[in-house]
Amino acid sequence: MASAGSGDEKAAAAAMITLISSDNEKFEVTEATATLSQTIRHMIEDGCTDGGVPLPNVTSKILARVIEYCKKHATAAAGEEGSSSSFSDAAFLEVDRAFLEELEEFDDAFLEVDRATLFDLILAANYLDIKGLLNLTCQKVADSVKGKTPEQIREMYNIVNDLTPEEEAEIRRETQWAFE
Amino acid sequence: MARHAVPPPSPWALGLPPEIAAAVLRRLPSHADRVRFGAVCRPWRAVLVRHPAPPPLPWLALPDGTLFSFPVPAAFRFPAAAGYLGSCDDWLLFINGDGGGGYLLLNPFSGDTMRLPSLSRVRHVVGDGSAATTAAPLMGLTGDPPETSLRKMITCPRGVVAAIVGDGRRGRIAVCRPGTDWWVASAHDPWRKLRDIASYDGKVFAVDGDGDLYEAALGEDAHTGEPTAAWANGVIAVPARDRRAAAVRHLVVSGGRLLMVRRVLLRGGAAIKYKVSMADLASSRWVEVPSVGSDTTLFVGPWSSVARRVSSRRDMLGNRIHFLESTLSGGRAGAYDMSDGQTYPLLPPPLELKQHGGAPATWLFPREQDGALSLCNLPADVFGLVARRLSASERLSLRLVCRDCDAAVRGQWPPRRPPSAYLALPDGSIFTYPGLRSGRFHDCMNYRGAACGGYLLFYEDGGDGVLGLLRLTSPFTGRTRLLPSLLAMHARDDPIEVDGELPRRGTASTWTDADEVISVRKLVACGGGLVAALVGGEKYSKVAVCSLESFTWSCSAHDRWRRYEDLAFCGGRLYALTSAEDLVAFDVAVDVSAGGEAAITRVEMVILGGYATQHYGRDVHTARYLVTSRAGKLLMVRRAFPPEQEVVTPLTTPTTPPGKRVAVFRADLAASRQWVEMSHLGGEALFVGRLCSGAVRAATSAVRGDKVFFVQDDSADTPVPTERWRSRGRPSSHQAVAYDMRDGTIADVLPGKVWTDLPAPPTWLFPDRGCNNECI
Repeated sequence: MASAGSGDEKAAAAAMITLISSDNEKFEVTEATATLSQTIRHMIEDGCTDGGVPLPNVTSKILARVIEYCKKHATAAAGEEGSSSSFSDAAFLEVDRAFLEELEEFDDAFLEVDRATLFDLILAANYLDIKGLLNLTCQKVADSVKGKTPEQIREMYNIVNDLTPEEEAEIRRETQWAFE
Repeated sequence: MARHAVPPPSPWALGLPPEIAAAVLRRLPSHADRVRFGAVCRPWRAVLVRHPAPPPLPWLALPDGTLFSFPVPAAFRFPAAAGYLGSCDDWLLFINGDGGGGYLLLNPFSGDTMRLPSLSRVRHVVGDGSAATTAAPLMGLTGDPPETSLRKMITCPRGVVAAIVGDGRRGRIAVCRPGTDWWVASAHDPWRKLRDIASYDGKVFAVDGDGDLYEAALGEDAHTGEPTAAWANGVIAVPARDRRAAAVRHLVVSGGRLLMVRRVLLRGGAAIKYKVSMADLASSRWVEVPSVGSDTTLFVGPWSSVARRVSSRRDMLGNRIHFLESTLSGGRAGAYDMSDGQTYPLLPPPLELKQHGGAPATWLFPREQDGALSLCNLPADVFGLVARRLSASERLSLRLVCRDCDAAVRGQWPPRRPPSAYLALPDGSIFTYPGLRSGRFHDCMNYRGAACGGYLLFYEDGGDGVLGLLRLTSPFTGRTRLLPSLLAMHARDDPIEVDGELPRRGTASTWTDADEVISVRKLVACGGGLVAALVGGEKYSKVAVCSLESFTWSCSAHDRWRRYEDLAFCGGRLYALTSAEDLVAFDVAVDVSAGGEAAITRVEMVILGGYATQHYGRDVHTARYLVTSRAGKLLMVRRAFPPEQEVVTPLTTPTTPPGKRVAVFRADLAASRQWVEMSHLGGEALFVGRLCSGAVRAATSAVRGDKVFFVQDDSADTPVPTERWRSRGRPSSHQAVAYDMRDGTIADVLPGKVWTDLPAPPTWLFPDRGCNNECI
């Protein structure tokens, strides 16, 4: 599971951070991966990561997914930095585009999760302050709502409609105003 | 041929509005009650479908086909449920009656069925997935059991069923997709004393009689799409010194943790004790937990086990283990409380669960719907991130989902400071002031009046062009109130008290113009279910009162018709203002003997105004309004229209007009009984109009104080002061103007069209307040 005990050479060379999930599972990740999370970055800066970073709000199942995302995107960030000097502009753009496409594909595949997991990922991204992941997951939720009637949204998210007809009318009337 | 008479549908079914039915449903937390509710009729069934319940508590099934709802036991007979072997989620397991040796799953709630293959058809998968199809299992530690059957099954993601198959003593894991013909098992797996399995973290976990935990990864055959299970890998091996015999062991997933529940064997055997451990997969050991959580309760049984959060339920206690034991392990049942170590009866006495061999009692778990953490429970800032990615119309849909969603979206787009007043035009458009944002409300065209609380008045057609009921509708909330027709006016003959000298000039004792239709000139809410109005024609009108309770209008036959210009309710009293600036007060009482009809009991001349047209000159048209200030004072606003072309300039360049055209007076009711002119409004702004007037405090609104806002109503400069706004003459080309008391300037608020052939002038509306009284 995840990278615990991995013998990855590059990773071993870099500083490793241990993340501890709510169910006490330990994940060892590179600092580059971990610092995609602003929350963890601040903890590292404050020097309070010895003995592992406890993440009481994130289960191991979700943390493994988050780390998967961070690893991919940390590599992406490193790749971009490394490539800028060694390629001509055109070649760089080419590589860049291919890489972005790959990243996009990864993101799409990454979001193929059930709704409960998606919400858990959102909460984790929010708590860990991972901008990219938060945007990605929020967009996914927004896309799921787009073009749907309130009834369809309720059905989709198993929400009970507790609005009275008067309240519904009021909301509709309110939006009749030409608010920008 | 005569058809059988069908009894008319019950008004309960068809007449109960869906929202009421939904409200009823919300008060039925028990699954049983909800099932009953949905069984009543089609409309109620539709309501049930639209309002899914929170995760329901399990049902208790007995092999004779009795199902008990839980925790409030209600017994239901499901003949189809009798004779089950076991259960899984909300499915009951049977032998398929087709003779093929397979199994049948029946959902007693929905009637759905699923078929599982016979255990004579197990495909044993070796190593990397290349399958060796044999009729008999490949290997077993102690030889193959002579006969295998399904001992326990669970549902896993992607529509896969995983099961312990074996002879009750030894078993192993097999998986299949319902409806297919083969079970799949790992050829490497030895037979083990497997006791329970659970789906956790995408894998199947199984525990054996010693407490050792095994994990089998689920997969899919790349070619056939058939589910596969890897061989069960030991993940927790209990050290020999810690091995404890247990009567029963269950695996339960609760709050993201994999728990093992075991009944401890105690000497003597009468007492019951359960212990719970959590699988620490990182360090490969069980960690005993003292509690399953005060908000969580477990249901464990020989076939199905589950954890349920009960924090939102008042009828269930947390930190309890509700257990059912098979007859082999004692056949006991109860609720073991982890807090005090006591066991409580599962069913309240005198009900008692008795098991007599055969299939055990089992739990059925009506399905938990997807989306346990729902959209509207997202943290506000995260919800904002989602909502910001939507268009305005999509956001509207989101707001209409539920109260939480509405609040969450509104939280992201805080409303601006609410407008001080709204200006309604006869074409159905309504403008905010300030801001002048507009909305079009087609159902608000051709209103006939207005009332506080943001209501517009409409006349309903009583048929044949006869004036019917009066209808108040708020364009802001859509709320509608009906008032009786003016034709139902009761002219009360009982004597009234008349106080003070009431001038007879400008009055009439009878309705003078038979041709003119009586209409509502002004409507005022007096609170307590009383409404007052000036009713009459162009010239003369009379004060009438209406009790909403008795639904009748009444006026006094002894009260005279006067040239009233306005009516106001101030400090608990009703005041009417005449064109001569006389202020008349009315006392209103409710006549209990007349069915709660409102009656005018006293008329008092409060201020003798004595205004004469000579004040400005005969050719100056004047109009006056009554308005109650925010400080609770009764004010009169007098506006004069000089005959010369009125200069209304754009807001940016106010000019001082010749002569004083606006004056505001305070009714000095206590001492001098006179109108006292005011030089300023104490930081208030007045919005006055023929139909509705109000005051706002500048400090709490976006409007500067000491201003008076007029709408285009009496602005036609006609020689007759009480001529209606739409009479002949030259109206100015604005909808509303603002008069500044500090510098005497008049500025344009809303220029535009002049309404000449519509039944009522523009009017101010105050949906939030605007009157100091209880609104209608």
